[in-house]
Amino acid sequence: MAKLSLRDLDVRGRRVLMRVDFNVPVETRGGKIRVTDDTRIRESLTSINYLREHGAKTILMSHFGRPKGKRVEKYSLRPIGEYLHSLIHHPVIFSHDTIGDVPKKIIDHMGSGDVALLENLRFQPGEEANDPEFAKALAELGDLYVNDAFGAAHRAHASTVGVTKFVPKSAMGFLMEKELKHLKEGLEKPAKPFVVILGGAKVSDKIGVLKALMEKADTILIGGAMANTFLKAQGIPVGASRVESDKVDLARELLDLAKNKGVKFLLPIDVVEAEEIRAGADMRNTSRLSPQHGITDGWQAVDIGAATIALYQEEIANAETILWNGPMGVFEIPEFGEGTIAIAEAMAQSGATTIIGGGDSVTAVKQAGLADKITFISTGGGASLELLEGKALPGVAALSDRE
Amino acid sequence: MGRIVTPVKIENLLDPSKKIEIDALVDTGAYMMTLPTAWRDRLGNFPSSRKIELHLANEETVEGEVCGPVYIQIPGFHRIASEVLFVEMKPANGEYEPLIGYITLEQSQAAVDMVGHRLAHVHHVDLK
Repeated sequence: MAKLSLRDLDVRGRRVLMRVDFNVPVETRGGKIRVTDDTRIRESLTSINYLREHGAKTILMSHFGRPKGKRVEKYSLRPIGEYLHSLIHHPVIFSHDTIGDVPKKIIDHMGSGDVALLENLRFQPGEEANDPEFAKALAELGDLYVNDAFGAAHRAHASTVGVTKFVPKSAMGFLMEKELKHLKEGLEKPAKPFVVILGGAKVSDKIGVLKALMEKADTILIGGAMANTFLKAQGIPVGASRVESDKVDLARELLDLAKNKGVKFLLPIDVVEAEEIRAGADMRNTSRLSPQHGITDGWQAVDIGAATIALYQEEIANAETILWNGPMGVFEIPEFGEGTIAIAEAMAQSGATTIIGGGDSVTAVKQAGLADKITFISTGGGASLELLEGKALPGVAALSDRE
Repeated sequence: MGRIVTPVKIENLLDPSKKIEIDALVDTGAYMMTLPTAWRDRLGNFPSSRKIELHLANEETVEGEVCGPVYIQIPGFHRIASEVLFVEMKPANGEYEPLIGYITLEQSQAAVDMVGHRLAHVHHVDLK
Protein backbone atom coordinates (compact mmCIF):
# COMPACT_ATOMS: atom_id res chain seq x y z
CA MET A 1 0.00 0.00 0.00
CA ALA A 2 1.18 3.55 -0.73
CA LYS A 3 2.72 5.39 2.17
CA LEU A 4 1.79 8.81 3.49
CA SER A 5 3.84 11.66 2.07
CA LEU A 6 4.99 14.84 3.78
CA ARG A 7 2.63 16.76 1.51
CA ASP A 8 -0.31 14.80 3.01
CA LEU A 9 0.38 16.21 6.48
CA ASP A 10 -0.98 19.42 7.96
CA VAL A 11 2.24 20.69 9.47
CA ARG A 12 1.42 24.31 10.28
CA GLY A 13 2.32 25.11 13.87
CA ARG A 14 3.07 21.43 14.54
CA ARG A 15 6.28 19.94 15.88
CA VAL A 16 7.59 17.79 13.04
CA LEU A 17 10.28 15.31 14.00
CA MET A 18 12.20 14.49 10.82
CA ARG A 19 14.83 11.75 10.46
CA VAL A 20 17.46 12.90 7.98
CA ASP A 21 20.73 11.36 6.87
CA PHE A 22 23.47 13.84 7.76
CA ASN A 23 26.09 11.10 7.91
CA VAL A 24 28.34 13.05 5.54
CA PRO A 25 32.08 12.75 4.92
CA VAL A 26 34.12 15.29 6.89
CA GLU A 27 37.73 16.17 7.51
CA THR A 28 39.43 18.13 10.27
CA ARG A 29 41.17 21.23 8.96
CA GLY A 30 42.57 24.02 11.10
CA GLY A 31 41.16 22.27 14.17
CA LYS A 32 37.64 22.46 12.80
CA ILE A 33 35.48 19.75 11.28
CA ARG A 34 34.68 20.54 7.63
CA VAL A 35 32.08 18.89 5.43
CA THR A 36 33.77 17.51 2.31
CA ASP A 37 30.65 16.27 0.51
CA ASP A 38 27.35 17.92 1.42
CA THR A 39 25.14 16.00 -1.03
CA ARG A 40 23.03 14.33 1.66
CA ILE A 41 22.48 17.65 3.47
CA ARG A 42 21.54 19.46 0.26
CA GLU A 43 19.21 16.64 -0.79
CA SER A 44 17.25 17.04 2.46
CA LEU A 45 16.71 20.78 1.88
CA THR A 46 13.55 20.26 -0.19
CA SER A 47 11.78 18.75 2.84
CA ILE A 48 13.34 21.18 5.35
CA ASN A 49 12.41 24.23 3.29
CA TYR A 50 8.88 22.88 2.71
CA LEU A 51 8.41 22.49 6.47
CA ARG A 52 9.73 25.99 7.13
CA GLU A 53 7.58 27.55 4.42
CA HIS A 54 4.52 25.75 5.80
CA GLY A 55 5.06 27.03 9.34
CA ALA A 56 6.19 23.83 11.04
CA LYS A 57 8.63 23.62 13.92
CA THR A 58 11.21 21.32 12.39
CA ILE A 59 13.19 19.03 14.66
CA LEU A 60 15.91 17.21 12.75
CA MET A 61 17.63 14.03 13.92
CA SER A 62 20.40 12.00 12.33
CA HIS A 63 23.21 9.60 13.01
CA PHE A 64 26.82 10.56 12.27
CA GLY A 65 29.70 8.08 12.23
CA ARG A 66 29.91 5.09 14.55
CA PRO A 67 30.18 6.29 18.15
CA LYS A 68 28.73 2.94 19.32
CA GLY A 69 26.18 4.17 21.82
CA LYS A 70 28.29 6.70 23.71
CA ARG A 71 29.16 10.37 23.44
CA VAL A 72 32.24 10.85 21.27
CA GLU A 73 32.86 14.56 20.66
CA LYS A 74 34.31 14.09 17.14
CA TYR A 75 30.97 12.63 16.09
CA SER A 76 28.91 15.54 17.41
CA LEU A 77 26.42 16.92 14.88
CA ARG A 78 27.15 20.49 16.02
CA PRO A 79 29.36 21.34 12.98
CA ILE A 80 26.74 19.87 10.67
CA GLY A 81 24.16 22.18 12.25
CA GLU A 82 26.47 25.12 11.60
CA TYR A 83 26.82 24.01 7.99
CA LEU A 84 23.06 23.64 7.59
CA HIS A 85 22.65 27.21 8.85
CA SER A 86 24.82 28.42 5.95
CA LEU A 87 22.51 26.63 3.48
CA ILE A 88 19.11 27.69 4.82
CA HIS A 89 20.17 31.15 6.08
CA HIS A 90 18.19 30.61 9.26
CA PRO A 91 19.44 29.78 12.75
CA VAL A 92 19.68 26.06 13.41
CA ILE A 93 19.22 25.53 17.14
CA PHE A 94 21.46 22.74 18.28
CA SER A 95 20.40 20.53 21.17
CA HIS A 96 23.40 19.17 23.03
CA ASP A 97 21.22 16.25 24.18
CA THR A 98 19.28 13.93 21.90
CA ILE A 99 16.33 13.34 24.23
CA GLY A 100 15.08 14.72 27.55
CA ASP A 101 14.70 18.16 29.09
CA VAL A 102 17.20 20.03 26.90
CA PRO A 103 15.51 19.36 23.53
CA LYS A 104 12.07 19.66 25.14
CA LYS A 105 12.85 23.15 26.47
CA ILE A 106 14.36 24.20 23.14
CA ILE A 107 11.34 22.94 21.19
CA ASP A 108 8.92 24.68 23.59
CA HIS A 109 10.58 27.97 22.67
CA MET A 110 10.68 27.40 18.91
CA GLY A 111 8.45 29.45 16.64
CA SER A 112 6.84 28.41 13.36
CA GLY A 113 9.51 28.05 10.69
CA ASP A 114 12.30 27.44 13.20
CA VAL A 115 14.70 24.53 12.86
CA ALA A 116 16.42 22.51 15.59
CA LEU A 117 18.94 19.70 15.28
CA LEU A 118 19.27 17.01 17.95
CA GLU A 119 22.65 15.60 18.94
CA ASN A 120 23.81 12.38 17.22
CA LEU A 121 21.25 9.59 17.65
CA ARG A 122 24.00 7.01 17.92
CA PHE A 123 25.33 8.58 21.12
CA GLN A 124 22.41 6.67 22.62
CA PRO A 125 22.64 2.86 22.86
CA GLY A 126 18.88 2.65 22.35
CA GLU A 127 19.12 3.89 18.76
CA GLU A 128 20.67 0.89 17.04
CA ALA A 129 19.01 -1.50 19.51
CA ASN A 130 15.63 -0.06 18.47
CA ASP A 131 14.85 0.30 22.15
CA PRO A 132 11.15 1.18 22.67
CA GLU A 133 11.93 3.50 25.60
CA PHE A 134 14.35 5.53 23.50
CA ALA A 135 11.93 5.52 20.56
CA LYS A 136 9.18 6.82 22.87
CA ALA A 137 11.46 9.56 24.20
CA LEU A 138 12.15 10.66 20.61
CA ALA A 139 8.46 10.57 19.73
CA GLU A 140 7.67 12.89 22.67
CA LEU A 141 9.58 15.62 20.83
CA GLY A 142 7.19 15.74 17.86
CA ASP A 143 3.51 15.74 16.91
CA LEU A 144 4.28 14.20 13.51
CA TYR A 145 7.14 12.11 12.18
CA VAL A 146 8.78 12.25 8.76
CA ASN A 147 11.48 9.93 7.47
CA ASP A 148 13.68 11.51 4.81
CA ALA A 149 16.76 9.38 5.54
CA PHE A 150 16.79 6.98 2.62
CA GLY A 151 20.40 6.02 3.42
CA ALA A 152 19.27 4.67 6.81
CA ALA A 153 15.94 3.17 5.73
CA HIS A 154 17.35 -0.36 5.54
CA ARG A 155 18.08 -0.27 9.28
CA ALA A 156 15.37 -1.05 11.84
CA HIS A 157 16.51 1.48 14.43
CA ALA A 158 14.61 3.52 17.02
CA SER A 159 14.63 6.66 14.85
CA THR A 160 13.57 4.86 11.66
CA VAL A 161 11.13 2.20 12.92
CA GLY A 162 10.55 2.30 16.69
CA VAL A 163 9.49 5.94 16.77
CA THR A 164 6.62 5.35 14.31
CA LYS A 165 4.76 3.32 16.94
CA PHE A 166 4.48 6.34 19.24
CA VAL A 167 3.35 9.08 16.83
CA PRO A 168 -0.12 9.46 15.33
CA LYS A 169 1.14 9.90 11.76
CA SER A 170 4.42 9.13 10.05
CA ALA A 171 5.24 10.00 6.45
CA MET A 172 7.93 9.93 3.78
CA GLY A 173 9.97 13.06 3.11
CA PHE A 174 10.55 14.26 -0.43
CA LEU A 175 14.04 12.73 -0.74
CA MET A 176 12.70 9.35 0.36
CA GLU A 177 9.92 9.65 -2.23
CA LYS A 178 12.39 10.56 -4.96
CA GLU A 179 14.68 7.63 -4.15
CA LEU A 180 11.79 5.15 -4.19
CA LYS A 181 10.44 6.63 -7.42
CA HIS A 182 13.72 6.13 -9.29
CA LEU A 183 15.04 2.94 -7.71
CA LYS A 184 11.77 1.05 -7.29
CA GLU A 185 9.11 2.34 -9.65
CA GLY A 186 11.61 3.46 -12.30
CA LEU A 187 13.27 0.06 -12.48
CA GLU A 188 10.11 -2.04 -12.28
CA LYS A 189 9.77 -2.01 -16.06
CA PRO A 190 12.96 -0.41 -17.34
CA ALA A 191 13.27 0.64 -20.98
CA LYS A 192 15.26 -2.01 -22.85
CA PRO A 193 18.09 -2.76 -23.35
CA PHE A 194 18.66 -2.57 -19.59
CA VAL A 195 22.37 -2.68 -18.73
CA VAL A 196 23.54 -3.21 -15.15
CA ILE A 197 27.12 -2.41 -14.17
CA LEU A 198 28.29 -3.93 -10.91
CA GLY A 199 31.66 -3.44 -9.30
CA GLY A 200 33.14 -3.23 -5.85
CA ALA A 201 35.09 -5.58 -3.66
CA LYS A 202 32.93 -8.56 -2.87
CA VAL A 203 30.62 -10.91 -4.75
CA SER A 204 29.09 -11.81 -1.39
CA ASP A 205 27.77 -8.25 -0.99
CA LYS A 206 26.00 -8.40 -4.33
CA ILE A 207 24.58 -11.95 -4.57
CA GLY A 208 21.02 -10.89 -3.80
CA VAL A 209 21.10 -7.91 -6.11
CA LEU A 210 22.70 -9.94 -8.93
CA LYS A 211 20.03 -12.60 -8.73
CA ALA A 212 17.22 -10.04 -8.58
CA LEU A 213 18.58 -7.99 -11.49
CA MET A 214 19.03 -11.07 -13.67
CA GLU A 215 15.23 -11.13 -13.85
CA LYS A 216 15.19 -7.75 -15.58
CA ALA A 217 18.59 -6.97 -17.07
CA ASP A 218 19.61 -7.69 -20.65
CA THR A 219 23.30 -7.26 -19.91
CA ILE A 220 25.37 -7.30 -16.73
CA LEU A 221 28.89 -5.85 -16.78
CA ILE A 222 31.19 -6.86 -13.94
CA GLY A 223 34.22 -4.95 -12.66
CA GLY A 224 36.15 -4.28 -9.47
CA ALA A 225 37.65 -6.94 -7.22
CA MET A 226 34.45 -8.99 -7.42
CA ALA A 227 35.33 -9.73 -11.05
CA ASN A 228 38.38 -11.70 -9.85
CA THR A 229 36.19 -14.32 -8.19
CA PHE A 230 34.26 -14.79 -11.46
CA LEU A 231 37.52 -14.97 -13.46
CA LYS A 232 38.82 -17.65 -11.12
CA ALA A 233 35.55 -19.55 -11.53
CA GLN A 234 36.32 -19.62 -15.27
CA GLY A 235 39.75 -21.05 -14.63
CA ILE A 236 41.63 -17.83 -15.35
CA PRO A 237 44.73 -17.30 -13.15
CA VAL A 238 44.25 -14.23 -10.95
CA GLY A 239 47.77 -13.86 -9.49
CA ALA A 240 47.74 -12.18 -6.09
CA SER A 241 44.43 -10.43 -6.75
CA ARG A 242 41.81 -10.22 -4.06
CA VAL A 243 39.51 -13.22 -4.43
CA GLU A 244 36.74 -14.66 -2.26
CA SER A 245 37.88 -18.27 -2.49
CA ASP A 246 34.80 -19.57 -0.69
CA LYS A 247 32.57 -17.87 -3.25
CA VAL A 248 34.11 -19.35 -6.42
CA ASP A 249 31.44 -22.08 -6.65
CA LEU A 250 28.76 -19.47 -6.11
CA ALA A 251 30.27 -17.35 -8.89
CA ARG A 252 30.08 -20.39 -11.18
CA GLU A 253 26.41 -20.85 -10.24
CA LEU A 254 25.69 -17.19 -11.00
CA LEU A 255 27.37 -17.52 -14.41
CA ASP A 256 25.19 -20.57 -15.14
CA LEU A 257 22.09 -18.76 -13.93
CA ALA A 258 22.79 -15.85 -16.27
CA LYS A 259 23.27 -18.28 -19.17
CA ASN A 260 19.97 -20.04 -18.39
CA LYS A 261 18.12 -16.74 -18.20
CA GLY A 262 19.64 -15.47 -21.43
CA VAL A 263 21.37 -12.55 -19.71
CA LYS A 264 24.57 -11.34 -21.34
CA PHE A 265 27.01 -11.55 -18.40
CA LEU A 266 30.29 -9.88 -19.27
CA LEU A 267 33.53 -10.13 -17.31
CA PRO A 268 36.73 -8.16 -17.95
CA ILE A 269 38.56 -9.49 -21.00
CA ASP A 270 41.71 -7.71 -19.85
CA VAL A 271 42.75 -5.85 -16.69
CA VAL A 272 45.33 -3.41 -15.42
CA GLU A 273 47.64 -5.37 -13.13
CA ALA A 274 50.02 -3.86 -10.58
CA GLU A 275 52.80 -5.21 -8.41
CA GLU A 276 51.15 -3.70 -5.36
CA ILE A 277 48.26 -1.43 -4.50
CA ARG A 278 49.89 1.95 -4.06
CA ALA A 279 50.38 5.07 -6.13
CA GLY A 280 53.52 4.79 -8.26
CA ALA A 281 53.61 0.97 -8.23
CA ASP A 282 54.65 -0.83 -11.44
CA MET A 283 51.54 -1.46 -13.55
CA ARG A 284 50.60 -2.67 -17.04
CA ASN A 285 47.65 -3.74 -19.14
CA THR A 286 47.41 -7.53 -19.48
CA SER A 287 46.88 -9.28 -22.79
CA ARG A 288 43.49 -10.86 -23.40
CA LEU A 289 42.63 -13.03 -20.39
CA SER A 290 42.23 -16.78 -20.85
CA PRO A 291 42.99 -19.90 -18.79
CA GLN A 292 46.43 -19.85 -20.44
CA HIS A 293 47.07 -16.10 -20.06
CA GLY A 294 45.91 -14.77 -16.73
CA ILE A 295 47.12 -12.17 -14.27
CA THR A 296 50.85 -12.49 -13.55
CA ASP A 297 51.88 -14.43 -10.46
CA GLY A 298 52.33 -12.03 -7.53
CA TRP A 299 50.55 -9.17 -9.38
CA GLN A 300 47.05 -7.90 -8.69
CA ALA A 301 44.16 -6.68 -10.85
CA VAL A 302 43.57 -3.01 -9.98
CA ASP A 303 41.32 -1.82 -12.83
CA ILE A 304 39.57 -3.04 -15.95
CA GLY A 305 41.80 -2.96 -19.04
CA ALA A 306 41.58 -0.94 -22.26
CA ALA A 307 39.83 -3.66 -24.29
CA THR A 308 37.26 -4.15 -21.50
CA ILE A 309 36.63 -0.41 -21.37
CA ALA A 310 35.92 -0.42 -25.12
CA LEU A 311 33.64 -3.47 -24.79
CA TYR A 312 31.68 -1.98 -21.89
CA GLN A 313 31.44 1.43 -23.60
CA GLU A 314 29.77 -0.25 -26.58
CA GLU A 315 27.19 -1.95 -24.34
CA ILE A 316 26.51 1.32 -22.52
CA ALA A 317 26.09 3.23 -25.81
CA ASN A 318 23.36 0.79 -26.93
CA ALA A 319 21.43 0.83 -23.64
CA GLU A 320 18.14 2.57 -22.88
CA THR A 321 18.43 2.15 -19.11
CA ILE A 322 21.70 1.86 -17.15
CA LEU A 323 22.14 1.10 -13.47
CA TRP A 324 25.61 1.31 -11.91
CA ASN A 325 26.82 0.32 -8.45
CA GLY A 326 30.45 -0.14 -7.48
CA PRO A 327 33.75 1.05 -8.98
CA MET A 328 35.65 -0.86 -11.65
CA GLY A 329 38.96 -0.74 -9.79
CA VAL A 330 40.91 0.87 -6.97
CA PHE A 331 39.83 4.30 -8.19
CA GLU A 332 40.98 6.08 -5.00
CA ILE A 333 44.46 5.83 -6.55
CA PRO A 334 44.23 7.93 -9.73
CA GLU A 335 46.42 5.58 -11.84
CA PHE A 336 43.95 2.78 -11.14
CA GLY A 337 40.84 4.89 -11.75
CA GLU A 338 40.78 5.06 -15.54
CA GLY A 339 38.21 2.27 -15.96
CA THR A 340 35.85 3.74 -13.38
CA ILE A 341 36.08 7.23 -14.90
CA ALA A 342 35.61 5.80 -18.43
CA ILE A 343 32.38 4.09 -17.28
CA ALA A 344 31.18 7.35 -15.69
CA GLU A 345 31.94 9.25 -18.92
CA ALA A 346 30.21 6.63 -21.08
CA MET A 347 27.11 6.85 -18.89
CA ALA A 348 27.14 10.65 -19.02
CA GLN A 349 27.38 10.59 -22.84
CA SER A 350 24.68 7.96 -23.36
CA GLY A 351 21.14 9.07 -24.10
CA ALA A 352 19.83 6.43 -21.71
CA THR A 353 18.14 6.82 -18.34
CA THR A 354 21.13 6.55 -16.02
CA ILE A 355 20.92 5.64 -12.36
CA ILE A 356 23.74 5.36 -9.87
CA GLY A 357 22.86 3.24 -6.88
CA GLY A 358 24.92 4.91 -4.19
CA GLY A 359 28.31 4.04 -2.75
CA ASP A 360 31.73 4.68 -4.24
CA SER A 361 30.47 5.03 -7.82
CA VAL A 362 28.78 8.26 -6.68
CA THR A 363 32.15 9.58 -5.51
CA ALA A 364 33.70 8.60 -8.86
CA VAL A 365 31.02 10.42 -10.87
CA LYS A 366 31.46 13.51 -8.73
CA GLN A 367 35.23 13.42 -9.02
CA ALA A 368 34.83 13.27 -12.78
CA GLY A 369 32.51 16.33 -12.63
CA LEU A 370 29.72 14.38 -14.34
CA ALA A 371 27.07 14.26 -11.60
CA ASP A 372 24.75 16.70 -13.41
CA LYS A 373 24.74 14.46 -16.50
CA ILE A 374 23.31 11.46 -14.64
CA THR A 375 19.52 11.02 -14.45
CA PHE A 376 19.49 10.01 -10.79
CA ILE A 377 22.12 9.49 -8.13
CA SER A 378 21.01 7.70 -4.98
CA THR A 379 22.13 8.95 -1.56
CA GLY A 380 21.99 5.45 -0.05
CA GLY A 381 24.48 2.65 -0.76
CA GLY A 382 23.23 -0.22 1.41
CA ALA A 383 19.60 0.91 1.22
CA SER A 384 19.64 1.10 -2.58
CA LEU A 385 21.15 -2.39 -2.87
CA GLU A 386 18.49 -3.85 -0.58
CA LEU A 387 15.77 -2.08 -2.54
CA LEU A 388 17.17 -3.35 -5.85
CA GLU A 389 17.25 -6.82 -4.33
CA GLY A 390 13.49 -6.49 -3.88
CA LYS A 391 13.59 -6.34 -0.09
CA ALA A 392 11.19 -4.12 1.85
CA LEU A 393 13.02 -1.32 3.67
CA PRO A 394 12.04 -1.33 7.38
CA GLY A 395 12.16 2.46 7.54
CA VAL A 396 9.58 2.70 4.75
CA ALA A 397 7.42 -0.25 5.78
CA ALA A 398 6.94 1.30 9.24
CA LEU A 399 5.39 4.54 7.88
CA SER A 400 1.64 5.22 7.91
CA ASP A 401 -0.34 3.89 4.98
CA ARG A 402 -2.19 6.37 2.82
CA GLU A 403 -5.90 5.90 3.40
CA MET B 1 47.37 45.06 12.75
CA GLY B 2 44.32 47.04 13.78
CA ARG B 3 41.65 46.05 16.24
CA ILE B 4 38.06 45.56 15.19
CA VAL B 5 35.47 46.06 17.89
CA THR B 6 31.81 45.58 17.05
CA PRO B 7 28.49 45.61 18.93
CA VAL B 8 26.87 42.22 19.56
CA LYS B 9 23.49 41.25 20.96
CA ILE B 10 23.29 37.95 22.85
CA GLU B 11 19.99 36.52 24.03
CA ASN B 12 19.13 33.38 25.98
CA LEU B 13 17.07 31.43 23.49
CA LEU B 14 14.82 30.03 26.22
CA ASP B 15 14.41 33.29 28.13
CA PRO B 16 14.39 36.29 25.77
CA SER B 17 14.26 38.67 28.76
CA LYS B 18 17.85 37.63 29.54
CA LYS B 19 19.96 39.43 27.00
CA ILE B 20 23.04 41.60 26.81
CA GLU B 21 24.24 44.13 24.26
CA ILE B 22 27.98 44.57 24.35
CA ASP B 23 31.00 45.63 22.33
CA ALA B 24 33.31 42.73 21.54
CA LEU B 25 36.74 42.36 19.98
CA VAL B 26 36.91 40.34 16.76
CA ASP B 27 39.50 37.63 17.40
CA THR B 28 39.88 35.05 14.64
CA GLY B 29 42.18 33.08 16.92
CA ALA B 30 39.37 32.60 19.44
CA TYR B 31 37.08 29.61 19.10
CA MET B 32 33.67 31.10 19.70
CA MET B 33 31.76 33.95 21.36
CA THR B 34 33.71 34.31 24.60
CA LEU B 35 32.41 36.18 27.65
CA PRO B 36 33.68 36.73 31.19
CA THR B 37 32.29 34.30 33.77
CA ALA B 38 31.26 37.35 35.79
CA TRP B 39 28.47 37.95 33.22
CA ARG B 40 27.04 34.43 33.32
CA ASP B 41 24.06 35.33 35.55
CA ARG B 42 23.06 38.19 33.26
CA LEU B 43 22.10 35.60 30.63
CA GLY B 44 19.98 33.48 32.99
CA ASN B 45 19.85 29.71 33.20
CA PHE B 46 20.97 27.43 30.40
CA PRO B 47 19.65 23.91 29.81
CA SER B 48 22.99 22.84 28.42
CA SER B 49 26.49 23.47 29.61
CA ARG B 50 29.79 21.66 29.51
CA LYS B 51 33.30 22.35 30.76
CA ILE B 52 36.15 22.46 28.26
CA GLU B 53 39.89 23.04 28.46
CA LEU B 54 41.31 25.96 26.54
CA HIS B 55 44.90 26.27 25.41
CA LEU B 56 45.96 29.89 25.31
CA ALA B 57 48.62 31.53 23.16
CA ASN B 58 50.87 31.88 26.24
CA GLU B 59 50.71 28.06 26.59
CA GLU B 60 48.56 28.38 29.68
CA THR B 61 45.58 25.99 30.00
CA VAL B 62 42.36 27.31 31.51
CA GLU B 63 38.90 25.88 32.00
CA GLY B 64 35.86 27.37 30.31
CA GLU B 65 32.15 26.62 30.30
CA VAL B 66 30.20 26.38 27.06
CA CYS B 67 26.54 27.30 27.58
CA GLY B 68 23.55 27.52 25.29
CA PRO B 69 21.52 27.79 23.31
CA VAL B 70 21.69 31.54 22.64
CA TYR B 71 20.89 33.80 19.75
CA ILE B 72 23.83 35.97 18.72
CA GLN B 73 23.47 38.91 16.39
CA ILE B 74 26.13 41.20 15.06
CA PRO B 75 24.25 44.20 13.57
CA GLY B 76 24.04 43.87 9.78
CA PHE B 77 24.65 40.11 9.80
CA HIS B 78 22.55 36.94 10.12
CA ARG B 79 21.25 36.16 13.57
CA ILE B 80 22.58 32.77 14.58
CA ALA B 81 21.67 30.11 17.12
CA SER B 82 24.81 29.10 18.91
CA GLU B 83 26.52 28.82 22.29
CA VAL B 84 28.75 31.09 24.36
CA LEU B 85 31.95 30.30 26.20
CA PHE B 86 32.45 31.70 29.68
CA VAL B 87 36.02 32.05 30.95
CA GLU B 88 37.62 33.84 33.87
CA MET B 89 38.77 37.18 32.43
CA LYS B 90 40.77 39.95 34.04
CA PRO B 91 39.37 43.40 33.34
CA ALA B 92 41.72 45.72 31.47
CA ASN B 93 41.37 49.37 32.50
CA GLY B 94 38.34 48.33 34.53
CA GLU B 95 36.54 46.73 31.59
CA TYR B 96 36.19 43.21 30.32
CA GLU B 97 36.98 42.48 26.68
CA PRO B 98 34.62 39.84 25.28
CA LEU B 99 35.74 38.10 22.07
CA ILE B 100 33.97 37.16 18.85
CA GLY B 101 35.59 33.91 17.69
CA TYR B 102 35.74 32.23 14.31
CA ILE B 103 32.72 29.93 14.78
CA THR B 104 30.53 32.96 15.44
CA LEU B 105 32.03 34.82 12.46
CA GLU B 106 31.56 31.88 10.09
CA GLN B 107 27.96 31.27 11.13
CA SER B 108 27.18 34.99 10.87
CA GLN B 109 28.80 35.01 7.41
CA ALA B 110 31.10 37.78 8.56
CA ALA B 111 34.64 38.12 7.27
CA VAL B 112 37.39 40.38 8.54
CA ASP B 113 38.17 43.23 6.18
CA MET B 114 41.77 44.00 7.13
CA VAL B 115 41.94 47.06 4.91
CA GLY B 116 38.73 48.71 6.08
CA HIS B 117 39.12 47.47 9.66
CA ARG B 118 35.54 46.25 9.75
CA LEU B 119 33.49 43.12 9.27
CA ALA B 120 32.27 42.46 5.75
CA HIS B 121 29.34 40.29 4.72
CA VAL B 122 30.20 37.12 2.82
CA HIS B 123 27.31 36.31 0.51
CA HIS B 124 28.35 32.75 -0.15
CA VAL B 125 30.02 30.64 2.48
CA ASP B 126 31.65 27.45 1.31
CA LEU B 127 32.60 25.75 4.53
CA LYS B 128 34.10 22.83 2.65
